[in-house]
Amino acid sequence: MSDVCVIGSGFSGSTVAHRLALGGSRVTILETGIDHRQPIPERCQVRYSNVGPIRYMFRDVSFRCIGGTSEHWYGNTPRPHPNDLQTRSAHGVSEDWPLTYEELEPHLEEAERVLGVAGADDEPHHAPRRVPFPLPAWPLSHSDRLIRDGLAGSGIPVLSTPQARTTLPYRGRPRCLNLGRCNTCPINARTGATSTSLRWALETGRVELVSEATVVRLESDEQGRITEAIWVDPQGQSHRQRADLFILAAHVPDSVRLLLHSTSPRWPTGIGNGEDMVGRCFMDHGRHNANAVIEERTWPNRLYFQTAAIHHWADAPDRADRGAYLIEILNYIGVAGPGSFTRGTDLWGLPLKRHIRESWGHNIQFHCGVEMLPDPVNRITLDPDEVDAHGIPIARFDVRFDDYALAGYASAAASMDQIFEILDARDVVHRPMRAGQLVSIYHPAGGLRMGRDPATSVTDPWGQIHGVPNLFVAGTGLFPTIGTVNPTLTMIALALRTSERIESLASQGDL
Amino acid sequence: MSRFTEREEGLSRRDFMVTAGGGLIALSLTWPALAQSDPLEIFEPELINDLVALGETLVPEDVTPGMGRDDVLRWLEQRMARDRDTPIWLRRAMPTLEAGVEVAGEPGARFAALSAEQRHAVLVHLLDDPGEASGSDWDLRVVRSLIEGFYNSPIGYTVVGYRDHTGTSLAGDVTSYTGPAQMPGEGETP
Repeated sequence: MSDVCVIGSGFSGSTVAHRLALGGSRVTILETGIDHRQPIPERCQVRYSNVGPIRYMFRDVSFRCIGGTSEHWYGNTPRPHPNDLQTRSAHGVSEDWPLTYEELEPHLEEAERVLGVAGADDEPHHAPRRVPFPLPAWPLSHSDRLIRDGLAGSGIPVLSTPQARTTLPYRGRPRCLNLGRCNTCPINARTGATSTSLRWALETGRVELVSEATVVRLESDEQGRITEAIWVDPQGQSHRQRADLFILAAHVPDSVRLLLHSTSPRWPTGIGNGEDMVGRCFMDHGRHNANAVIEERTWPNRLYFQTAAIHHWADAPDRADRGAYLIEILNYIGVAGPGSFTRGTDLWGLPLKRHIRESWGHNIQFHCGVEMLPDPVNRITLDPDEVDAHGIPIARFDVRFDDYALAGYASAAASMDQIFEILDARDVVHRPMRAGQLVSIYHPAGGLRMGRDPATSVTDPWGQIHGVPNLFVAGTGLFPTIGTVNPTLTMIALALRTSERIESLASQGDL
Repeated sequence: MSRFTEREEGLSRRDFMVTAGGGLIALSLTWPALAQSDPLEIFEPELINDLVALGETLVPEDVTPGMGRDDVLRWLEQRMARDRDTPIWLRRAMPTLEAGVEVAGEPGARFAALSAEQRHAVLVHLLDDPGEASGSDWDLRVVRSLIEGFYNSPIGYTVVGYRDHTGTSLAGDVTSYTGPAQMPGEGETP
């Protein structure tokens, strides 16, 4: 028996665990995955199916491990634009979050301190801020500067990208050494839960982490309160974890699966699914890359993370008509190496050497993800035919692009072409998603959306599932809209806010 | 720093292969063991010598290193690591080179025995007017993959101004990425 049972040890779950443990709660974290430095077994791979008109693809960038996705991500941590949370009020499209940027800002500040975000304080185009970043910014790369200078006078600014990656030693983590393995940083210069919130939670002495513990069902009583989590170990042995409070913080498809699978007389279609909203309004940012060649040398591949982006179209006046987007500038240019310039030529010997010297290293590449609307028809359900290793139906995605998102992708392509033209670039190559595919950049969101109206949301504005007083959701599943920026910082801010709410309710005896 | 100096300073084969990326299968080997590694056991020395001479001619040294014996052996090792048929198509391709030697006026001689000028003349004949050899194992699997393999290797990166393959070579360097680097030979006539 614990005070709190947290399902999932990623940033969201460990953040809540840490905060509640600091308040004196005894917390058990159940994590299905293992240490990611070990070979990842099949049961920790993500399996899913598709039934919708487009094929949603994210298997290749996801697996289950201690620390969750925080152990394999790139560390981009821009704040949301204020209007990302208020698109209905600001642009008359989509809907508003049940909180404003100003309400979220204290938690964004704390999330930046948790992660040790390195950012530039003096860029007026970023989301407003009241306090400096915890760490000084990563300087713009050589190619960032070329693009910035080339766009000078165009009204399209190039902004520094805040990074959860150390520019100086920070809270026990070393300074980045540019080892080139940036999404699975071997020295924790890029923040992960195991080097921050999860470690701190365990250090309180009031948190127990149980790995390889796959929660297969939540049991509830007649009043709808969750009483215990049923979990199985790798040998298939079943266990029960009782607690007063439960935090559902697995990644989006698994959290949805668990709720839908946990049926009972009180919840015949799944916990919290009385309005058939669990799994609905699922969203992600799809991928569109484009590259080109410019006159100057860009000296690519000397840094394997991003240091700049173009936010010009992230909250443009025509956001009512098309999905908004961020254009990220890649420092790793997407060429395999100088050898790629030996293709398509019959040269050899010294002429080939001269050709490679002249042609290699002039590339620029952009990476773009576009906002999609929260449409109830885009949903995650349980696959009726296929189960995982524990007999639980796998997630089945039913996803489609609306005209708003498609207009956003068309606009993104045109904007990148506009930039290339200003830069006098040549050999432009677009790499859009193939027709009928949504290739995830691993920003799954929605499906467990928060809101004030139980008819259109799964949780209240603080993540408490409607009608279930002792079950909260943490994670990007809460997002009512997906916005344009990378979601991790906002997700952690929400987890901190949820923790604060729980402490407040507990102190009033309302849990 | 030349590649030979690096080796004298103890750049291990493990380091070399890690930075090369694709050759992880050979991590357990060390430089001294290289001479006894599989390629030399599978192929007769004459064929190895011809391949090395071919590599030296395809990528000659100028202000940056050219392709040397160790680069050729590493290429062979990598090819065989992912393609067990390598010895078959390699032997099938080499008669093209042997036939080309006649252009040098040295019928029956090994390619490796020719002077640098003669080797160059042979390759001008075979590569600039390849005829039936175009698209063959000789053209694509040997010549083009030897060239591409070199330029994608850590040593190949020196041609475009990097100390070697980035990633590990820049470890500890979190400042130089903000400015231009120096392209070797820029402004010079190699």
